[in-house]
Amino acid sequence: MSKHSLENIRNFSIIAHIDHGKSTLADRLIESTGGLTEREMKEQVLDNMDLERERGITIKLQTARLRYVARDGKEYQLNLIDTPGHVDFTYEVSRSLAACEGALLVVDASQGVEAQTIANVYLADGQGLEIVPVLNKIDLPSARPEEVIAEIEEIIGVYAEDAPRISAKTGQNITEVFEEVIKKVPAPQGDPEAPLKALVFDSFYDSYKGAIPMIRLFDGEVKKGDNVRMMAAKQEFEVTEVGVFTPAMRPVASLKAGEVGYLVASIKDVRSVRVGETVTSADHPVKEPLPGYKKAQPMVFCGLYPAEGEDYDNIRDALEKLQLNDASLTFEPETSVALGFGYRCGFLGLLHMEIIQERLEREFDLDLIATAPSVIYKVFTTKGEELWIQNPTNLPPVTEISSIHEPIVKSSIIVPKDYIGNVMELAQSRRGVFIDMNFLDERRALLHYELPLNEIIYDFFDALKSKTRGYGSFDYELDRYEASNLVKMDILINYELIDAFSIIVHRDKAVARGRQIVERLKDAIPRQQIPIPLQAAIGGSIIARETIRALRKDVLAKCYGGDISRKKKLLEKQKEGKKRMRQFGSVEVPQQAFLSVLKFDDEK
Amino acid sequence: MMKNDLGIYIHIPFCRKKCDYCDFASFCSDEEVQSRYIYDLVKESGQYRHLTDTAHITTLYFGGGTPSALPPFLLRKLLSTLPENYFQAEEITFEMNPESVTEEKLRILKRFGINRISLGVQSLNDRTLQLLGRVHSSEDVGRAVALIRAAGFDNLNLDLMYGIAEGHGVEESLCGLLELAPEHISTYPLELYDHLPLAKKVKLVDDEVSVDEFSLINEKLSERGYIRYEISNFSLPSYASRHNRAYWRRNDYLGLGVSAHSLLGSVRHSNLLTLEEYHRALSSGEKPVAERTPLRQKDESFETLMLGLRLTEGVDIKAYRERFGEFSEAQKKAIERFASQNLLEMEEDWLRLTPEGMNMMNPILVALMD
Repeated sequence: MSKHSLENIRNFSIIAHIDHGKSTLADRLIESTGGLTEREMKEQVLDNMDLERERGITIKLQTARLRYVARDGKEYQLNLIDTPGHVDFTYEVSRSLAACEGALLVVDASQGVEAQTIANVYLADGQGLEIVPVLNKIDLPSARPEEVIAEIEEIIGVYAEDAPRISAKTGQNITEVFEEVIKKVPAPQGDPEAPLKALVFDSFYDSYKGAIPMIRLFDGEVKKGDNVRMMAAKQEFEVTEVGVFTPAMRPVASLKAGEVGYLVASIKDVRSVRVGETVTSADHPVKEPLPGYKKAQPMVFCGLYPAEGEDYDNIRDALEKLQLNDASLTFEPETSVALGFGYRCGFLGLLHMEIIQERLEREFDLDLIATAPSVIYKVFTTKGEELWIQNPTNLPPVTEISSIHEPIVKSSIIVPKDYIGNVMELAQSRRGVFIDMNFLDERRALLHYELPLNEIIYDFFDALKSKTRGYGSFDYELDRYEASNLVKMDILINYELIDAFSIIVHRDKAVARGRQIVERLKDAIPRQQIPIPLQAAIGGSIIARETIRALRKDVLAKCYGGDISRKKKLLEKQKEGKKRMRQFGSVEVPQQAFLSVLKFDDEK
Repeated sequence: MMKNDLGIYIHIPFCRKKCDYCDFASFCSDEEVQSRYIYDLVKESGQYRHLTDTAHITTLYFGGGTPSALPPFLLRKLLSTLPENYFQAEEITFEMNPESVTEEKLRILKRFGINRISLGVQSLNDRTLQLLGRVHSSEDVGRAVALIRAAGFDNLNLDLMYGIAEGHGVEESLCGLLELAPEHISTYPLELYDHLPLAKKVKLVDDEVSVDEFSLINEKLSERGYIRYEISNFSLPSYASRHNRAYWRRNDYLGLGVSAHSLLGSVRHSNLLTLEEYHRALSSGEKPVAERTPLRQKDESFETLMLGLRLTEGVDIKAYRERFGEFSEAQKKAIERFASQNLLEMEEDWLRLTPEGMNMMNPILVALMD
């Protein structure tokens, strides 16, 4: 066996703003080193999760060991660890980065530096990584490499004069990227003879082999037959296979310090190998795990209900299957007066939520009703208890609440200077607190705002995009919980309080939201024989009111020989609709009315 | 042997111009197509000879479309080639539109035994007629009625539309209509479906307005001695439409022509919807039927209520029980509830809607559905 040499290994990630071409570059790097045959390329890379391809976002990591013979004539082992490209997965990004010594910073040569670019650079910098800037999309006529290089140097403070100017799309100058990585990224350090110490930076589920952690070895060696311990999960497993990604899985005899690969050990549950976990030897364990492990906490919640009641069990099966691959997804059964039986699910962020919903609908063919997303509130009672509340119905009576705290995020917004006013208006309308503003160059400004998470989970991204003609970019991180003037708003139909409609809302927003809800209900509840008052109330005071007028006539005027079958069907449909109606006192409320209030939609 | 009562409906799907609110099968076709259609109709009538020869044909109804849009020679052809026994029906109605009423056509109709004319008036306000996309004027109506009367027809229905649009109130038309002294008046609110041309032009009036207009119609007509014998139909005593009443009493009827519907025994069927399909089926000797729906007992019992309650006379409960058995507990409870709200009443074995109940028929029917 040849002596294990770390000299010729480079471990690196790619970081970029959404759409700046990260995945395309990853594909190109893999392709140009012949990691996969063309057919495999198509199957493994290009078809890997349609959703990601469509949205241009990486969710699951793409990892590959690339063999590259450099200009110096030596063969290098380049381990590419792609990072998820979205703020929801910041923690995963930080763990991926921890597995590397360097990061390729991909910047679109016409778009320039964006909010997420900066956030990602800070993350990589915090991990002590060597940043290797790359200018992508150089083939576009709108490319302005000189300006963007100046931007990178000014804003990010990284020397970028000799950054490779590439086109991941056409393959132009791709070898320059390899050469830069070899030149700039330090070789890993580590002792192959020391006890095993490896970082789990991602995991996935294989129906035959179980949960498979993707690992970076810092010290030691791991091979088939070894007993390993997951230090945070406090579980031990026997290794049945180790291997590397090409990115297809290829078993190898062993993985050694400095290397990247996977291990198979009949692990039943991805929750045993969460991102950030430290793998060590069961027989000679290290004393201290690698720093930085934390369990990903859901930040955004929503109820997922079957559109057809029979799907309830199918949703559970599907959520369990997704959870196999995604340790950060949580769910528990929930019952709603309006929607019946469903699940309250927790997500890392809004994108994570959308992706799970879409996967449920596409991959499992489920018809779902999703309620509006909510955050988790911290409630202090007068008795000094601390409660975590994400469902308004669980809120204690007002008299027992001492204070309600909500999550606050720190956000960075980069925007062309013409739109600063629009962005400030938007942030203000979302209860944002202005921190500071810096001009990045003559055209663009970086604004920092503190915003309640609750205000950005609906449609902040969309609003920002539309108010900046698509030029604004946005990033955030959770900062703290803060006491806020939050109240529970109830909705009364014909003077009866309807639980399912209660929401937690900021006092200043209550009137507008209350008015919006009663208006929507007015449209969604059919007129009945009596007038129906609709009210929004905080405690005992009514803050918005509408009345559904009484229906004076409901009859089919014409019914001759040719109309009978059709009219009968119409009535049968009404009867069916009636079955789905909920009776509140003498008022019938159709499912649609609940949806119009609870459902997450864009015409807010 | 007692012969089965049978009504016959014949659909003439031609119009000079399709009205902007029309959702029926009607086409603006040339005489060649019309002529071929009449030939097809006669063929189709032949397919039911076994039935029509053994039944007691009580009523015959030519509807449309606009049957009066046929030119005289085709009208003659139609009436002379249909089976002769059709014309032994006691009531024979022919639908006409004011613009296509002529002395000649009326003479032909009279000669073949037609004894009831239904005239599509809709409105006597020219602005309103224009809005609706009708091709006639209010003047045409007066002229048509005069011709019809002069030709010796003493059973005339006029259609009146209400609930049309702001600034198109019904009162003027109603007064004008009463001056024409028809024996029968059918009255409907305008219904608009999104795909119709008129839906793009007007917004329907608020239904409060529509309800008030109907109340006005109801009041004025009853002052003049008209009886509301069905939700939308009024007549002088003994002039109720026997043909239409047979639909509501669920008597058998045979519909001939494009898109026509039939109820024969416990089966409803409907014909193909386009002239081409209809012609193709008949050319190959097949029945031009698009859909055949056998009725289950519970369909028939519900239809009995859904149709019977449209009539002021109501539903014969004794006959209902004999045929379908007792009402279910849920139905009994619903009847009781509606009776206490003065929407339904039960009197000597007849279950009927009150005038208030007639306005709220849909929720009542839904509650009575088992």
